[in-house]
Amino acid sequence: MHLQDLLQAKVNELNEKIKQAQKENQITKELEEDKASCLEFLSKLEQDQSNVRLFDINAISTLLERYVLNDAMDLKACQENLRIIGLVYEGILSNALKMDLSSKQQKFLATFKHQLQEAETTITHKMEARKDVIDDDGPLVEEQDNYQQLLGKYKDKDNTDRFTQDEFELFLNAMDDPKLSFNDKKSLLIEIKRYNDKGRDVKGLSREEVLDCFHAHGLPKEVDKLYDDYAAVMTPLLDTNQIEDVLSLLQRESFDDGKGPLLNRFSPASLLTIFAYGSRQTVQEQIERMKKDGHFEDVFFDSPRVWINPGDVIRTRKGADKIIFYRYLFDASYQDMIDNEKFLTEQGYDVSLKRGVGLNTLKTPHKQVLENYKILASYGFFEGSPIKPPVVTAYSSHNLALHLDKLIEAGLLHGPSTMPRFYSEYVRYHSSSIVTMTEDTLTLAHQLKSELSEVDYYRKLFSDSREGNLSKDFFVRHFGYGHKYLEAIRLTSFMSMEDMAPLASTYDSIIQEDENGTYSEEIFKDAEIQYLEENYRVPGNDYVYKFGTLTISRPKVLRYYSALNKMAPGEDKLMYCITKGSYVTQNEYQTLKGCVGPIYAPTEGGSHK
Amino acid sequence: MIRDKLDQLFLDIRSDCLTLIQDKKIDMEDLAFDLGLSLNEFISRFQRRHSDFSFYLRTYRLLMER
Repeated sequence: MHLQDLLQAKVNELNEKIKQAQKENQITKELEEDKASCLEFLSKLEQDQSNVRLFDINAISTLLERYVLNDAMDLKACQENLRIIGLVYEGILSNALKMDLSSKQQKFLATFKHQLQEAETTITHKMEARKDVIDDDGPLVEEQDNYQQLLGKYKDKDNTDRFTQDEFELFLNAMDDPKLSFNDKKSLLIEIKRYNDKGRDVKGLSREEVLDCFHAHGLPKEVDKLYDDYAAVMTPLLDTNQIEDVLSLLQRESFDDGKGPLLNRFSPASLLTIFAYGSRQTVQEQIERMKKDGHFEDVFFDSPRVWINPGDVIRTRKGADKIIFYRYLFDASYQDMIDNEKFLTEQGYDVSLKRGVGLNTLKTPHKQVLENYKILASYGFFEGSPIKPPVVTAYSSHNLALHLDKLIEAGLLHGPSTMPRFYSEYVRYHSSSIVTMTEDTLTLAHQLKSELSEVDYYRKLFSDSREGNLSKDFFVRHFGYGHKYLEAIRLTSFMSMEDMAPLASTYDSIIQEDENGTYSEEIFKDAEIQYLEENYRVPGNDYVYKFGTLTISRPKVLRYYSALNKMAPGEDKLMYCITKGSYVTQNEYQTLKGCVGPIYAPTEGGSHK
Repeated sequence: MIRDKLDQLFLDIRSDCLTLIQDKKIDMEDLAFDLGLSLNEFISRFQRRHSDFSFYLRTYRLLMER
């Protein structure tokens, strides 16, 4: 049972009671009237017996019928007698006839008087018996009104007032019903508590109020539209006073760059994020910071994270707020962007917040940019002569090392020295491919690699006519499969991680925690790594191990091996480090097993190699 | 798990292939010949999933290229 059912049932019950009381009221009134008429007839008879002639015979017969006589014959006789007695008295008084009532008529009158008295007594008894009957509907109507109001309040979604003590009393009264089970009562009380808890949190803004507030400050329609898309999740976070505060500040403030009030420069997403997570204070502080630094670039107005303090947001808000705007909290902050511009300019890149050059990379968290720089350096992007530094977008990549490993294994980075450099160092020459080479493209490249000889693979992959460019045929083949069937290629052409290293998921969780992008020199003392270094390194290439036709990224193996250094050495662990994230066919797997097997095979001396 | 995924992919790719054969009015015997199969073998592989999934991928690519 829910509160609404309880209240509705109570209202219905009271309705019935009111109807009953109104009926009873009617009966009481009738009794009172009858009693009054009885008394009136009696007093008139007492005064003068001749008053009988003035009596309303119908009224009298009704009284007698109701309270004394049950027999229709008697009633009729009574009426007749009264009529005749009336006539006799009429004659006596008006025509001065010398006559009198017969003894029979005298006797009837005496009986009649007695019957009236009897009727009066019956009425009095009846009234006494009805003392406990509720015949007044006044209090009931009042009570019903209270419940009706309470029901209205409960049903009204916009009403956020909590229940008052009086209302709580009403609930308790309604629940005082023996028909309700203990569990019902318990769940009803919980519901009351929940309602009151909810009442406290909801600020109770309606969509119209929010939009009115936007319109009052002349915000563009795009803001309305974006708000409407997220109204359900955003509204509880909004507060019109706060919005007013922020908007009036933004309307008032401007920078010395002649671009007018700040308000006109914000993107809709920035404004809404500020309304939801920011405050006048965070905005004010940011404006002052920008004035001090002399940074008035447009990019900041399209970066919500600049104007709010995500630390506050993450501390005070809970999971329910994980809405689309939440992602902005992990964008670059103001300081990140300034630092990125400085760092990348120092590295010789043409990036500028002011001119809007390289914005995607500038809007990457500074920490990630630095990490990516280290990764690019460790994968040899700043070596060789002449140095061909990677494109600036490479610094904005996620999981950059994983991606570079796959490019190495596809033979497109630090590839075989027997092939022309624009094939085997494709990624160095076209470093934008770090971003543009997707997992799907790589799946296909690996499939080709597993099917064809090294020479044929590169021939198939690269264009004949445009040196160093990927062949058109390769992409036709790519799209010929349709993206959805590349999944089938992954599943059918290559071994699954679990097949190659049964404990893969355990290692995965360790790697997730401990991997730090580098490896310790200590691991080179381990027999397993020593064996790989001695047997499977490619001379002059620091980035690959070669197991038959299978190319494996050396930095990857060393990185994972280092992260798993607490685990006991074993074939499973080594196989995991080698094959993690790689495309390995059944044949290549067998070759690989044959290559690492000797490490674990007992030698003549009984020790491991 | 992988088997379920492949079963689903088989249903998808079969329906895509049949649509392509119908739309492009492809002669099944020619197609089977290009894939190095008899027509009977070709049809039976479309009735039940064959263990070599690459057959379906090859068929699909051939049909896309025609």
